[in-house]
Amino acid sequence: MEKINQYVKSKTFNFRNLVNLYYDLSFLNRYRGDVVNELVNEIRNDSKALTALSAIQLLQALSRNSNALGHKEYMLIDLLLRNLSNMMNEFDTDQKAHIFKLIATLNLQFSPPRYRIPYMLYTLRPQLKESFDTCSEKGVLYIVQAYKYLPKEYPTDLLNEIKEMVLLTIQHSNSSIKSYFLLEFFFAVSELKKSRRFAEEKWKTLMDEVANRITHDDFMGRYTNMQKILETLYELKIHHEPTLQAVVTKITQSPEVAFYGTLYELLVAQRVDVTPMLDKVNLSLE
Amino acid sequence: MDPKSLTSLYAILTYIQNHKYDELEQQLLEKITSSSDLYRKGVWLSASYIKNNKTRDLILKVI
Repeated sequence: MEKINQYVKSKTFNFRNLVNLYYDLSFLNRYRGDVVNELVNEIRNDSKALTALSAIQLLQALSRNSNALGHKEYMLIDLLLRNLSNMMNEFDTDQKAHIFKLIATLNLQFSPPRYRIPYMLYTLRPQLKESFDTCSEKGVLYIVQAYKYLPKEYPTDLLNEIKEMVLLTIQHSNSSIKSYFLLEFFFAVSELKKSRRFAEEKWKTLMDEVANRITHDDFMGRYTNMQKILETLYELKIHHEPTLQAVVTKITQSPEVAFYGTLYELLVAQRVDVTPMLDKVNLSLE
Repeated sequence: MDPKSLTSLYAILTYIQNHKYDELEQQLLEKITSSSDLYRKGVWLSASYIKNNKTRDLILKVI
């Protein structure tokens, strides 16, 4: 840290080095004040120093420590948001979705100086709405994940359209959805506020597909993934019988029946009879 | 079986209450209470998804 301070004081850096330094420091969650001061000064002196890539990098670093930002970091966010609006043409839809999530993660509605949702999120929403069908799976997930942080007064039309699109794809062309995406989408939706999640019937459509893949797809049928699915169902207080039965079938069909404590606990908590599975396991106390 | 799985198994057996596992449940209880890292097992048990009188009694005893 001393060396970093010396480096910053010596003023031998260029803007790109400074952005990289701030990005790396954000992982350590240590004092970043001097670096932030220099970043603010540099952007104020010459806003052209800020490129599209460095803006995303700075937003990533800021969102990583969004619960512990200093006064100067909020000034930096303010500067970034002002400059970002001039750079929008340089970003593709995926990058816009990423920026949408990063800004939402900053929770600026709870923070000074303005205590409100940045205007940028309102300008990004129609742009994303127009072109989200060109987003990659990662881009779609970024948008859904962003809604976890957005306050209830923020319009949900974009989220609703995405949810509808995914459900329609599940119903009519389920093979075009990758299991990785389906699982992450399920987790992302489950983390939303209750009013933004699915209605019961739509949950059923999504969960039926998840259940179907547990027995037929190696990725979805991994023990860690099955455990995460059951944990999520438990937290949401959803009892989805086909998913529970799919997990039981997957465990019993596996050639080596092992004891997975948390997984069995979750099944028991959902009132599944685990006795036949326990009978197959070698319950040695050694 | 590792200690964490044994603690999980104890919680499960206290819930399903099947008589054929009564002996195993008793052995597990003895093993857990006689172990040197009793506190850690109590923490695992308190983080378990299964809560009933038996697990609660054991948690209160060790923590």
